[in-house]
Amino acid sequence: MSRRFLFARVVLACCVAVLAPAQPAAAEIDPEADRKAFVRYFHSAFPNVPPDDYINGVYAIDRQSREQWEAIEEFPPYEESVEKGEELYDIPFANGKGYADCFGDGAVRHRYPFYDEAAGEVITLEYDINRCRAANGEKPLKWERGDLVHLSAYMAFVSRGKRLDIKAESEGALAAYERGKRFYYTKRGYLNNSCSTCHVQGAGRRVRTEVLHPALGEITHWPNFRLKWGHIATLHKRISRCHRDQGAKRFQAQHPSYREVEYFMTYMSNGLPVNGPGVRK
Amino acid sequence: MKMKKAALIFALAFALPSLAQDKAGAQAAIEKAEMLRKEAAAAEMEWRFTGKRIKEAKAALEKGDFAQAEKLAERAQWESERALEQAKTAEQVWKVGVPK
Repeated sequence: MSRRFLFARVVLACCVAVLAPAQPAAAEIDPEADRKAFVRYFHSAFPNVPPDDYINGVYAIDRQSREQWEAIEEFPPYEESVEKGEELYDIPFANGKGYADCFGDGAVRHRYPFYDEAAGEVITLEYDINRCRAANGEKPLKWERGDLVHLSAYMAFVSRGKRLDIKAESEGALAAYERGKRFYYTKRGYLNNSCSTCHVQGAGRRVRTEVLHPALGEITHWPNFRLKWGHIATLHKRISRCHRDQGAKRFQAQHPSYREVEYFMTYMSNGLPVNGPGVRK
Repeated sequence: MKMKKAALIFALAFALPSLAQDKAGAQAAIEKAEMLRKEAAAAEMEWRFTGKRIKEAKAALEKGDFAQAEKLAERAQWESERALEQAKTAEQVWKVGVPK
């Protein structure tokens, strides 16, 4: 092999290494190792917080606002949504079937999202509720609020106490997990912030008067009644508003990238109990 | 009277091509801004107000305010160029914040 040819090959290999997308091979993606490091990070950042208390979001680390929140939880504003969701859950479709044919008793929140091998995409609970409706000849429900959120609130409520148990094992699932992880850590928008800027590196710090919640446990209490919104809404509404607050153009709820980021976020909280729906400032 | 006519013809002879040039310049700037915006959107890195600026640039063009149209389109181009730079940087550094 001539030296010139060898030099050309080395230059080509360097160019390929620099220009190739950074998606690693499936063998290099290890969600369980990521989760353990993630949990270690938060446990060392907040050594006084009991492991399961992360499901309470910012109230796990902010004593002062916790008292107010506990008072609100005595008569929670999401109660009406849970009741509405229960009613809706039991109304049969035009074909005589119902949600129970898709979700049994509805206590399935802890198994979402999952990677659907046949469809080749991540399926969230809300996405699956609309898939169930479509499969039974019903029109889809609106994504961010309304009946879909009531159904999701009811299903979260009956799943309370069940520990998140999602899997990422196949090649497709691992790739989707990795894309979600990358989305979470990528800085974007004119503020050049990522989700992790606030909820990993910034957890516990203040943005104006608000304390930033830790990423660990941040998905267990959805859907959520935000006092700021004055209504209960889905996790994807929150993700899209965070995305916009970074100074980036937000996507519609249930966009594939949002479903993948939910997949990653949920995997990081695997093992924590579901406590949705919730109420937040 | 003759002097006035001559001055008008003289002014039009120079102003019209310049106006046409301004319009073409603004149109080209909007097209480039739109192309860059699409590129940033494909990388999922589009900034929040870039589309709005392009819309406003188009409205200014319609009104005949070519200078404003070009200014807005150039601002939109700048934003998309920064967004694409962010995407490139992210390739190298997105893992920096991942807990080890």
